[in-house]
Formats: sequence, C-alpha cells, structure tokens
Amino acid sequence: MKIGLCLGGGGSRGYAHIGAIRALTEAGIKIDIVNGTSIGAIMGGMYALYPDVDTMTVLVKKVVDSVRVNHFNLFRHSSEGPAFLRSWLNEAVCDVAALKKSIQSNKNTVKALELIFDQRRFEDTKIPFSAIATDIMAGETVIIKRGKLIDGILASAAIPAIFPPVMRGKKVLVDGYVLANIPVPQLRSQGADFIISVGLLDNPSSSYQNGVDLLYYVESLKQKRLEQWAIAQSDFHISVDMSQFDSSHFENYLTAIEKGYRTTQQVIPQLLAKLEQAHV
Amino acid sequence: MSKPVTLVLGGTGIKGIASIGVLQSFYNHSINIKKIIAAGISAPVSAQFALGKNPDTLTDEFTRFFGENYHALWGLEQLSGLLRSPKRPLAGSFSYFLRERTYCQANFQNAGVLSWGKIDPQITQFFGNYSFSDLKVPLAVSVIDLKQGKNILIQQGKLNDCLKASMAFPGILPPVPVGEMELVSSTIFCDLPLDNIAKDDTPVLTIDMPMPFVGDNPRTLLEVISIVDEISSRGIKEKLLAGTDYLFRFEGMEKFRWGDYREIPEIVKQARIETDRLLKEIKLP
Repeated sequence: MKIGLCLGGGGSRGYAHIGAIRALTEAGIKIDIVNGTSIGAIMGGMYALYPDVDTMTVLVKKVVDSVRVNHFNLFRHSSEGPAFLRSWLNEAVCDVAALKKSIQSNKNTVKALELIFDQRRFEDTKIPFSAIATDIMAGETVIIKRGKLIDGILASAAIPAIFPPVMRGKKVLVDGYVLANIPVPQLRSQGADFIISVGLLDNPSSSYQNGVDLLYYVESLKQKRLEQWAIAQSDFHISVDMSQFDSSHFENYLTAIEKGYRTTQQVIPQLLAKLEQAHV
Repeated sequence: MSKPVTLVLGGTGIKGIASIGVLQSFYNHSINIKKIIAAGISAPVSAQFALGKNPDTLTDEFTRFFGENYHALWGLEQLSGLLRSPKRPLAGSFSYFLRERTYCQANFQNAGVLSWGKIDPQITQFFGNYSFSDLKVPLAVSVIDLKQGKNILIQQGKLNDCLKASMAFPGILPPVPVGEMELVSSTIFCDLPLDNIAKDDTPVLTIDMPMPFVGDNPRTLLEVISIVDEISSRGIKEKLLAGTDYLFRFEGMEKFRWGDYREIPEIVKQARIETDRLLKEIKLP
C-alpha cells in the first residue's frame, strides 16, 4: 500500500511542512509518493530530493541568507492581504495592470530554486514527486512530473499577477492553487492509496475598504470551498493553523517549522491508528 | 402534471433575465414549482413570478426597467462590448469588467462604482415593498454574507433588501446590510446557487447558462487575474452541479454577453425555446 504526502500552498507559511515532515519521520511513517502546490511543491520537491529534514532546514537557511526572498513583498509594511493590495493599488497598479502581466519578474524565485534544486530533474528524486500548476489556456490543473524540477516548481509557485505565467509547450502555467491548493485528487490519480494531506490554515479578513478588498475576499472564499472538497478526499488531514503568520514574510522559517512540527506531533496517535485500520 | 421540482436559477449579469423565458415555458407546460432558488438578476425575476405575475408580462417590465435606469444602473454595460475585440476576447468577461472597474478607475475609496442612493427609489418603485411571506411560490435568494464568510440562502424578511443584495456585484455596488449580515451577490462565487441545496429540495432542476471560456494567453495583469477567477468559479460550479437531479444547459445562450440589456427580449425568447426543447427531451418525475 502506497502512502502519499500532499502538501498545500500558502506562501511562507509552507515552512510548516518541514516541521510536519519531521514529526511524520520521527513516528516512522514512510512516504512513498509526494506532491504539492506552490510552496507545497517547493517543500515537497526538496523532501523528495533530499528526504532528510536537517538538510531541508539547511537549504532553507541558505536561501533566506542568500536571496532577497521578500523581494516580491512590496507591501511589507502592511499586515494583511487586502491592506497590502490596497497600498500598491493606490500608487501604481493602474499602469501595471493595464500594461504588464505581473507586478514583477520571477528572477529571485529562480535564484532561490536554483540554490535548492540546481539542475536536478523530477526523475532524480528519491521519492516520486509531482508539482501542481494551473494551465490558464485550458482552464485546468496540470500535474508536472517530468523535466527539470526548477521549471515545474516555478510554474506551480507562479502566483497570478505577482509573478509572470510560465510557458511550457502550448501551456501557460500559473500557481496550482487556482483549482488545487491541496492537491489530494491529483495524488490519488497517481496511485497513492493512503493520503496524508497538510493544509496551512488561514483566516482571511472580511474587513474591506473598497471593491478590490471585496473581490479579494470572495476569491479567498472560493479557494476555501475548493480546499474543503479536496480535504474530504484525504485519508488523514493535518491542518496547521498559520493564521498568525504572514504568507509573504519568508524570514521566520524556524517559528513556522516549529508550528508544523508541534501540530503534527499532536495528531500522530490518531494517524497511526488510522494507518493500522487501513492495514498499512 | 409532473411532481413538484425545485428550480435553481442563476446566470452572469443580465443573462439572469433569461429566467423569464424559463418560467414562461414552465408556466405553459404546467410544471409544478415547489420552490425557486435564485442568484443574481434571476432573483428579482423570480420574485416577480413568485408574487403571482404572469411571466409573459415580465419581459416588457424588465426591458422598461433597465431601459429607464440605463444611466443609473448599466451605463457601464457598454464596456462589455467596447473592451472586447477579436484580439482581446478575455476583456469581454464579467470578471474582467469587475476588475477593470475597480482596479483601473481610481476606485480605491469606495466599495462600489455606483451607490445605492440613486438606485433605491427605482427599485422600490419597480419591485414594490414586499416580504418573503407575500410570495405565492417559496423563494430562496442566494447571497454571500461577508460577516459569516459564506454563501447563504435568505428565505424570510424584507424582499427588497435581499433582491438588492443579489445584484450587489462587488466593486460595482456596495454590500447591503441586512440585520447582522452584510450581503453581496453570490454569482461571482458561482453563477448557480447550488451550494445550499437541502434534502427536502429534491428533485432539483438547474438551469445553466454557461459563459464561453476564453483560454487565451493573457497580456496584462488584469487579464491574468480575471481568467484565474473564472477558472476557480468554473471549478466550483462543476463540483456543485454533481448535486443536481436535472440539468438544463442552454448552450445557445453563449452568444449573449453578460451586459446585453438591449437584447432582453431575444435572451428571454431563446431561453423559452431552449426550455421547451429540453422539457420534451428530458422526462421530469
């Protein structure tokens, strides 16, 4: 029986996945296949390539120390999503929105991914791994499991409007969160029998000052609904409450890792019981 | 006569008016409606029907209403045609329209481009001042409550507030306060109000008026976020449609734009023809 690990998206909150993986490893749970969306793809790819939590933590530190990981965060003085959107909209979005595909390039993301994955390919990972993206030409989710890891993961983490879409053949790819932020059905389709999913719980604010805030909030409700359906298909879901963490601040990785670890450790007895029931 | 059905009506923008054609056809075929669940502009249409008005009179009434209030309500509608071109089909979508209005028209201080102050008197004049308890056919209006953060159905209280909320498209019109709630249209969540179907509602017949999906390589940030919004709404709709017992899909309605208020008679006629055809093809219980 194949145990699959499915890692959800959520910006820098995704460091919590490292903590979750540490707790699973300590409990002796062996993962046979892994997938992820956005930051979940970055963490999942790293785990699949180097199935060792200490190595993963060292790599994260290397990235944070070397790359301007918060470069995309033009809004670092604000504390919540709608507020940060508003701050830049007031200043410059009219021009950007009408003329460019994204607020900025993915140059720094590429640098960060190069530090982690270099030229390694999906075929090189020690655990089978796939990254989830969205093809906006076809309007559907795409499972990427071949080619250079950096290319597939870059597409999976291409947050629409923040980063430019990634071209892959005839496909125009953006972040997989659009339809599959916690890509459980996609992992099932790849042969996972028992799926452990990890979601990064957020609590979007419903306060608004303008129409942009309202549109942003409704978008977050849609994502929540789609996530609920995906989680319902998981065999065991771990929800890490990351609502106190800003998804755009990438420096505080140790706190997020610890949060993921503690949350997962607490549910390990239930998980082991469920695995036993499933005869794993 | 068939067993009573729950009728689910939605549609993006002005296409909700097509519900008149559906109701005309149901009326003519003596289909028994036990409840209507409506979202967007199909909610005021359904309310008029539920008050006992003959559906044949509604086309003229709504044409007149939108014609008279064109400047107050739908002057922006023209952009649905102006923005769209053969080279930029994406810009014709409702998602793009909402974002173009809110992002690019320096509308950062207001919850909507329009305000209810100018529209309220016309709404009261047109819809009267009724409560849900006045309706002859039970009606549930689908809206999003910002306070609860979810899609809900409202089936009691003052009708006008809920009809306003069903048309409060974020960015265009401000949310509508009703008691403790703060309501906006649910059609931008999903153009069909299928999220709160109860067991008692079965059998459920859903009318789907799909908008064409434009899979295109976007050239601007606005196009990117609009297409992403459409994809997630379609994903939700696909999931929710699995819960309906009967589905009438009007492929022939794709040619109409979400803001074609000048085409109301044609939209209604087309919907009636499609409903007549599907009622012959699909046997209701």
